[in-house]
Amino acid sequence: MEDCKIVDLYWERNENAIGESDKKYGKMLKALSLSLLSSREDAEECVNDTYLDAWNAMPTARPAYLGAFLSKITRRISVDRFRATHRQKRGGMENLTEELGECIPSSISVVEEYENGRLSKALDAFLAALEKEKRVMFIRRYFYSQPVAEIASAMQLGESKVKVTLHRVRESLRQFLEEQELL
Amino acid sequence: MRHTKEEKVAYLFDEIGGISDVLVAEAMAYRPKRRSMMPKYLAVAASLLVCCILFVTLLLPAKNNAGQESNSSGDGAPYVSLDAMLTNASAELRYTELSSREELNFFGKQAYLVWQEEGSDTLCVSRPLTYGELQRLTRAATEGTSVGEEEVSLQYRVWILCGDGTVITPYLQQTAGTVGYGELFDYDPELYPSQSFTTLVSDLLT
Repeated sequence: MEDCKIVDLYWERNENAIGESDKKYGKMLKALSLSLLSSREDAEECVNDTYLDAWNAMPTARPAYLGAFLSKITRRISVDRFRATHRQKRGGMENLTEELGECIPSSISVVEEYENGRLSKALDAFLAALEKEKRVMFIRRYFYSQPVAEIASAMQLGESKVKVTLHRVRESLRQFLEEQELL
Repeated sequence: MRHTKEEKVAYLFDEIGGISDVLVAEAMAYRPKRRSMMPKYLAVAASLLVCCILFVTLLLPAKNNAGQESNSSGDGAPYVSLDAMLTNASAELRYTELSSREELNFFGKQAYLVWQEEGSDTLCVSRPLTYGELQRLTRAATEGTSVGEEEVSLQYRVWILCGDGTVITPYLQQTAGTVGYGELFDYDPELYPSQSFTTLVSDLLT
């Protein structure tokens, strides 16, 4: 079923909306949550919570890209759950944040920029300026939390090529944040 | 206000979760273009070689037989592509229909031939394949000829579900990157399926 029809079901308060969402995006959302939480049960709960959030958000929201909309909710819920229950443990998300640490210039005021919305716009601008292949690689890694091997397979590239490209993009992001005076 | 690097990274990580929906959707919809593994001149040479072989093996026997039989079968029969066979014989084929890929059972220990018309969500599924049929089909699926640099548009896409999670198609060379399921569904053809594959499919479905 097309996204717009599923969104219509949400707006009509038709419970089939959840079934259709799960049919179309359930596997992807579970994979996203699982990569962050490393627990199948937690991942399934997060995906169920995603549908509840989507149900509460529509109406008023009318997402043009339902998959992206649901992915964002799943990611947020999964990150929150990780922080709430795994503070003492190290898992998939810890590895990602370690890598992203390379993007932080020594004196950057990320928190302040985050709070006033500049960081969000800067990230969109940075990603939009990247070559498509690099952009896709970055988003698959740091939005969808896909393992490098999975990205390499999906993009028909070698793992080393993906690792090197991601390293360069992180370096570019650090420079970009400095140039934009997000300091 | 001072923040630790960990806090800053956490905010950056959160903020990546808020990037544009368009970029998020693009990343999941992305399909790589098939990369040519050969230098261009080698590809041209290979294409010429394939053309010569095709000419010798297909056109010359067809010419020789032209005066003898108007509608020959067996050796020397005109090449009928898999796509053309599925198009021409669609009304006579026996199959069941599924409305989406989610209904396919990749791990059911039972092999099937599956095909789908371009632009349609409906999947056509053959009767279960016997072990021998699966062996013959998978072997014939390796015998296709390269499409070279040509861009081939297909009316039907075809897959063999082996029942153990593996999926192959006669349109792709069977390498590690093309044997599997998921990404395989939106392939661009690398091979023209062989006549023997088309014949096996025709026999299986009629």
